[in-house]
Amino acid sequence: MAKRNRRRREGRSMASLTGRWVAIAAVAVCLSLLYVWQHVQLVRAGYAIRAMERELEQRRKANEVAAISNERLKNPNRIERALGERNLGLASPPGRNIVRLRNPTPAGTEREEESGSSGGTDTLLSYAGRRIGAGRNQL
Amino acid sequence: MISNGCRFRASFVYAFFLLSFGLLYTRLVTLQVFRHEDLLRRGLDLHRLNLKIDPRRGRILDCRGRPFAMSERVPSLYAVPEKIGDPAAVARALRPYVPLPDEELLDRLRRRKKFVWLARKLDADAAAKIERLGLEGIGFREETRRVYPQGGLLAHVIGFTDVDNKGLEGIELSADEHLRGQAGWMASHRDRKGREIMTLRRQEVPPIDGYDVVLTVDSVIQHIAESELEEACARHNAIAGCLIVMEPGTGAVLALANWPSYDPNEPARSPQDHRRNRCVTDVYEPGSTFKIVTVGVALDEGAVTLADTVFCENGAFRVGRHTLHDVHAYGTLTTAEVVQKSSNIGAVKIAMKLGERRLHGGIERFGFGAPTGIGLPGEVSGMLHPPHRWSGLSIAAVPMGHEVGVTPIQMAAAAAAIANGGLAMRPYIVREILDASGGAVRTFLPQPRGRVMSEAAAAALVSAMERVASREGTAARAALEEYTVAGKTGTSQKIDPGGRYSRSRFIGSFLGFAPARDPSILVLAVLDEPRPAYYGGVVAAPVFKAVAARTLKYLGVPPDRQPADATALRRAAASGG
Repeated sequence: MAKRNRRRREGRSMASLTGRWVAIAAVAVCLSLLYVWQHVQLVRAGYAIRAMERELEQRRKANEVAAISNERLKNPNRIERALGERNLGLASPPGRNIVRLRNPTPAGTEREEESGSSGGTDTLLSYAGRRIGAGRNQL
Repeated sequence: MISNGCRFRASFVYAFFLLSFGLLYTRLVTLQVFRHEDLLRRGLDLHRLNLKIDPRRGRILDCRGRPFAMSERVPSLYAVPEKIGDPAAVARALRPYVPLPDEELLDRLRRRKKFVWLARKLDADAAAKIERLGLEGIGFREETRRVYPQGGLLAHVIGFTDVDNKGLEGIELSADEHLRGQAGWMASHRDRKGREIMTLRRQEVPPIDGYDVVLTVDSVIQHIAESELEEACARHNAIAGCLIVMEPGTGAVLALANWPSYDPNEPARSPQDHRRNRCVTDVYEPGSTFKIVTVGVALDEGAVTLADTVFCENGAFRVGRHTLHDVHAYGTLTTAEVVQKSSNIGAVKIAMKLGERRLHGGIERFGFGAPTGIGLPGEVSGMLHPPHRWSGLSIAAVPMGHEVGVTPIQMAAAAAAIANGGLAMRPYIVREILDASGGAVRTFLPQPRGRVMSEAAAAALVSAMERVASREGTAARAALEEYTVAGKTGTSQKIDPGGRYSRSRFIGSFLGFAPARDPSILVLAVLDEPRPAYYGGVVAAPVFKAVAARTLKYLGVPPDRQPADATALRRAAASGG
């Protein structure tokens, strides 16, 4: 009887030990799978990032091409030739017919509008807009 | 008790395992020891990814930010010959897109190399078509290509680069260290399909883009200068021409045009002669335009005043064994009239009052005989002999612009000094160097080079030069309707290969500034071998007029001439003055 009990105890302790090992192995396998899954996800994310980087490069390239094309279109030679071909009858006005507008600055002081400067037309248009908006069209 | 059969079988199994392990061990030693290096290299080649990342070459911009030179990323075609099974078939497929002779293409595909270039910097369309062919062992690498969106505009100043984006001419060459940037690199690994595994990216050094170079040139004024120069060269059958527009007060070059020109996008298509920046590399005898230097030095040294008179020998003056002539026979002229009528005899007699040494010293002060330092490659010093090398005739030749060699930029800079009240400014063409964020890395400010004459002498000379563009002057065709003009014509004979002055080959030039008393621009126009008309007042003065009128209007310079004066001038010009 005592012998049977001892065997039963030994059997139980063996089962418990085996169970523990199985549990540890299961956790280890899970951790390994988690690691592998994580790694795969990382690699996939890397591919996705690379694809987006490539797309960004493509768009930058398209932007560059557009900028170059824009500059080619703005070439004064091309514009003059195109105007000549279309025969629009445009002519440069005599200097005395050019009226330079004085643009009021926010501070209220007056500044000579720089004719021909890069910002000249924009400033003039915004000035006109402000005047029209204020209902005081004096142009 | 173990039987013999059993022992034999055990020995057999033992021997089998021993042999197997022996073979495996041998293989292991072969792979790990004897072929270690080779296999390691092949393994790394397969998976390691070392990429050089090209920087963007900086742009070259005009003074208002409009680009003359830009860069774009384009694909370049390469081959890995080891991976190509049938080079002949691949060569046939690539033939329409690769600009190589058939034999050369096939030869490259057959080379025992890991990498060969087939075509650098292809168009995107061609690259897409090649990609669709799906050829094994053929790939693309991205590179940057230099693009000049304005075509030939300012080509001689901008220059161009080689296939590796290294500057070869012009600003591309002189500012190469600022423009080129610094390449970056990346060390990573790739998978079986050649895709980068980002998690294994070890190091990444981003490229540093080149700086942008901002010029003082305005592309609109440049266009005006080039179109007017081209038209004048065509009208007068000139073989070449150049034109400079400067701001006399600062020395900033607003336009620098040469004709014939070329397209820097395809420099190889033009002869070398068309690519030369004549404004800084070519030396010519300036002829009468140089009289302003002679008279300027004499006025400054107090040798003469504007009102002093000089007898012009009724058109013929003997110096040594030679006789000097004027175009028209003049009697007594004032100093101002000598400039106005461009009298050779008058200029020589004024120089004789001055003496060789003082004349030479004054010419040197004006900057002749030394490069201006504009910062463009190939600039030459011109030719000015020291007084001890002058012959007895030199005092009769130098004052009227012979026996002295100048570059157009030297002549423009000297005239700018007169326009600027006697203060010479160093001509400059690069205004700023900007980093990628637009911040100024270096700014070039106007640099005074020194006083070449007193303010009073300069003012007196300007008043004399104003008479040149009058009805009685040599350049009525240079007069502007709405602005006062001070200027000087020049016509010089070229030297024949035999060393004698040619009777059929001339250089016609005109330099002038407007408004005369407060000049905004100075224009020098030089036409090389115009025919049949060749006088500076006839061939070059109208170019000045057209360029100055359009430029002053573009810059918004208020007119300083009354319409009544303008009407009188129009009549004078119409009467052929």
